[in-house]
Amino acid sequence: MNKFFMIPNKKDVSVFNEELILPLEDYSIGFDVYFSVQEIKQLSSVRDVSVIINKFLHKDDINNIREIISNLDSVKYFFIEDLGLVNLIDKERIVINQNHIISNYRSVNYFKRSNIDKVVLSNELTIEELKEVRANTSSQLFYFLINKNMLMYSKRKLVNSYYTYKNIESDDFKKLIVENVSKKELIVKEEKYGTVIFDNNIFSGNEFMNELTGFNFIINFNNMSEEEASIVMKYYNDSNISEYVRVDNYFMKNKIGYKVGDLK
Amino acid sequence: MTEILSPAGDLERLKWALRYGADAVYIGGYDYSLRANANNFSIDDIKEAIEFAHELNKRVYVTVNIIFHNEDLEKLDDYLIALSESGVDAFIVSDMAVIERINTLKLKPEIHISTQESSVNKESVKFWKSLGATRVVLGRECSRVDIIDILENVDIQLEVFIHGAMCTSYSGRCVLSNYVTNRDSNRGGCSQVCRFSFSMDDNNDYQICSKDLSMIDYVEDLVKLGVASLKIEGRMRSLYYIATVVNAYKSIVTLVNEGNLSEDDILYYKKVLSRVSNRDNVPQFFDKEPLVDEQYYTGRQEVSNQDFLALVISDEEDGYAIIEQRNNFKVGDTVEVFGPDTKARKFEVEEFINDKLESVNEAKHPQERLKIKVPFKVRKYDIIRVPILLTK
Repeated sequence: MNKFFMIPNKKDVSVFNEELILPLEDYSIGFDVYFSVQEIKQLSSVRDVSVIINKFLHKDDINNIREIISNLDSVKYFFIEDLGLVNLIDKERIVINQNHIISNYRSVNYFKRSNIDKVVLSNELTIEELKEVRANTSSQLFYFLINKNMLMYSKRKLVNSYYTYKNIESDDFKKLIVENVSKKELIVKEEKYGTVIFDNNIFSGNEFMNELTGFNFIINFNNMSEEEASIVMKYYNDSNISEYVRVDNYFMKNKIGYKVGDLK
Repeated sequence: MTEILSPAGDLERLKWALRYGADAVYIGGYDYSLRANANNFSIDDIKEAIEFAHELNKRVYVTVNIIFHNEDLEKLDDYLIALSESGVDAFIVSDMAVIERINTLKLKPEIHISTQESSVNKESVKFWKSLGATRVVLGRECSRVDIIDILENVDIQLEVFIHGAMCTSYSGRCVLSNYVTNRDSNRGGCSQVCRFSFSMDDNNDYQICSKDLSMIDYVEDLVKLGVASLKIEGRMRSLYYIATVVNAYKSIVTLVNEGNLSEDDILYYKKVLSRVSNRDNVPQFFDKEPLVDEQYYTGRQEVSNQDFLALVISDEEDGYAIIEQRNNFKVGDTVEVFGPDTKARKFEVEEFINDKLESVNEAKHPQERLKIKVPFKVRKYDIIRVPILLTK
C-alpha cells in the first residue's frame, strides 16, 4: 500500500517525502496549484512524481498533448479522466481516474484485459462494495482517502456568467454556496477551462483504513482551508481523524437510493 | 440518410415517435437505465416495440447506461441475453462491465457508447471502437471542429444531440444529486440539483441551470458533415412533444436531402419547436462557448403548454373525423392539423357532435370523443393543435 499526495501549493513539494501527484497545467481542473511541463520534468528527474490530467480534451488539447507526454518520460503514473489518453500513454503508466465512475470489479478487470491494471475507485462506494472489488481483482486499486470531492465538472463559466447577469464586479471565482432547501454547503470554482463544484465537507475514509487493505491511498489537500489542511497534515494517518476536523464518510456506510421508491 | 433518433418513455410514445418520422427510438428497461423513474419497458413491451419498429423498417436501441455497482452485475447477463433475443438493434452503454459482458457473451446487438462517457475527441472514439463499439454518442460539449476532427480520423457512426434538456456538467461527471438529495445520478436517480437555487454571499438566487438545446440552425451542417444520427432528448416527455419535435426535425432533414430547405422553413419549425417547448432553447456549444445568455438565473422558467387540442381517432367518409379531446377548444376557433402524412393545414371549427349525436359548441371534457367537421382529408393519428402563426 502506498500513499500519494496532492499538495495545495508549490512550497509543499519539499514537505512530503512520499509520492506526489501533480496537476498538469492547462490539462487539469479543480486544483489550487498547477505544474508546468518544465517543473514536472525537473521534479520527476529527482523523485517519484505522477501527473493528473483530469480535463476532457477537445480537439486542440488532444492534438497537443501527445508531444507533452513524450516530454514527461520520467513521470511514474498518469492519472487520466479522458479515455482518449489510453492510446497516447504507455499502458503500464496509466491510472484510470474517471471521477465517480469505476464502481465494480468487472469494469476494473476489463481494463486489465486491455493491459491497464491501475484504477481509481469511486469513493461513493460502501466499505463492503470496496472490499468486494478488492476481493475480485488483482489490479492495483487507488482510492481518494481524504479529499474534498469534486461533485460536478462543467465546461461552462458558471461564476462569471452569474456576475455578468447580476452586474457584480468581482475577481473572486471561488465561492462558498449553500443550497437553499437542504442547506448543503458546496464550493463553486471557475477556472480558465470551466467550472467545478466541490463538497465543502472533507471526505475521509480513515475510519475504515484498516479494512482497506491492498489499496493505494490518495490524500488531496486542494480546496481545503489552511486550518483544515494543517489538521489533515497532522492526522492523515489517524483512523480517528474525525475527532480533530469535520469529515464525512456517509457513502461508506450507506447505500444510495436511485429510484424514488428507494427513499424511505 | 441521417437518422432521427427519438426518445420513448413507454410503448405508446414509442409508436407515436415512429409514426411521426423517427427512424429509430431509444428506450429503457425496468433496470439499468438512467431514467429510473420513467414508466420504462418490460421485456414483453420491448418485444412488442421491436416488432412494431421492425415492421416499419426502423430500429430500437435500449439504454443499459447506468454506472454499475457490484450488486447490479448479478442479473446483468440474463437481462442482456433477453434483450438480444428480443431483437434489440443496439445497446447504449457506458460502463466497461457491460461492454465486457456483451463481448464475452458474443451478443448480436451493436454497442453504442452513451453520452455519459463524454467522448469529445478522436482518440476516445478510437478507444471505444477498439472495444467493439459501432457508434459513439458524443458529449454535448463538442463543437463543430471537434466533430469534424473525429469524423475525419475515425471510421465510426457518430450520434449528436440536437434537441432537449442539457446537463450543466459534462454528462456523467455530476453527483450533486447524490450529495444534496441522496439520489444516485449515475444510476438513474438524478434530481436535477442544477435547477435548484443557491445562496452566494448576500444573494439567494445563484443558479447553474442551463437552457435547453436546439440545433435547428445547424441540422443542415450536421447532415452534410456526415453525422449518422441526430438525437432528441426526453424519455419523460409527452406524446405531443415527441410527435411535434420528431416531425419538425424529420421534415428539416428531408428538406435538406431534397436540397429544398429555406430560411422560411427554419423560421416555421423554430416557431413549432418554441410552441412545444416549456423552456428556452439555444445551440449551446456547437459554434461558441455558452455564456450569460445560455443559462437561467431566476428559478425554473417553465410554462405549461395547452396547444395540444385533440387526436384524430379516425376519419369518416362524410367530411367528419372522430377526435379525442386533449385541451379545450370551441366552434369558431381556427385550429391546425398535422400528422405523419398530413402537411400542417388550418381550418375553422364549424361543428362538434357528441356521442348522443347532439351538436355542441365546445370540446371541453378531457379525452371526450367527438365528431368534428373537417374541410379536407385527415387521417388516424393526426394531431389537432393551436395554429402555428409565423410572424417575422
